[in-house]
Amino acid sequence: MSADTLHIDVGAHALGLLEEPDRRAFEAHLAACPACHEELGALREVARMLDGVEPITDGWQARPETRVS
Amino acid sequence: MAHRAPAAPPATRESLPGPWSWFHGPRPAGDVDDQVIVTELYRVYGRPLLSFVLRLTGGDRHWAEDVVQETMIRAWRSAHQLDENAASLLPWLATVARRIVIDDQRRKNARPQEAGEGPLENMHVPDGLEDLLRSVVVSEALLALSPAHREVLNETFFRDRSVNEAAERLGIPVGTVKSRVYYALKSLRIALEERGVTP
Repeated sequence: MSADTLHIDVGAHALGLLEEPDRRAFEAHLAACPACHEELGALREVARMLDGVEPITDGWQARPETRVS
Repeated sequence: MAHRAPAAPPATRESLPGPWSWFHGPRPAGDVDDQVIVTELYRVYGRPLLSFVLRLTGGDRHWAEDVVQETMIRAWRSAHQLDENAASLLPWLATVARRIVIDDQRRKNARPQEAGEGPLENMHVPDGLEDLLRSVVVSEALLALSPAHREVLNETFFRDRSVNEAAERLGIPVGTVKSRVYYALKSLRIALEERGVTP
């Protein structure tokens, strides 16, 4: 797996979405990649913001009868 | 959308109009159709505001929808009080919605006194609602993502699925899911910063 591909994994790793082989490969890469280390910290903070938030499901519509006069 | 009246002074480079300046009064009759304003408020804030109000109404959706509608109408009537440079009107709308819920509750409890109509700009969301409001702002930021980015977060993080499982469900390569998750998080970070939330 190329370094570029591993770098992209930082997002999935921040959210805990990698399966075991990919997780190990990314962590091995992480130890040698200061850029990934820094970005992981930032993206983990974003991931933390998602805690307790409900997913957005598309399809919500404004009430059509809403009018002001 | 934000067509200005011909008589309005030209905006200087130092003071560009804020995102809601078109909404800000006074405006000539017929300049911006009222229905357009309310529709725009609903488009941008309807869903995050509803999710916020649903928690105040204990999940009563009909009541919550009525509260959102009343909030939007008050926002339209109070356009001159809104901060046209605010990155988001959501804190203002959430505060107004909370007041409406409290007033409704008082009415239901058959207590005659109403909350006073103090200046809206002086109202603050109490501490207990900060977390709630944060989650609503995050929801709003999620709405600002592209549908593909929102979808990939829904199919992975929000459903507790690995990128491999999500790739299988979506019928796309794992590498594409990883890439979308990465760019979705980066976009979300920017969307949060734009809304004054620093992750």
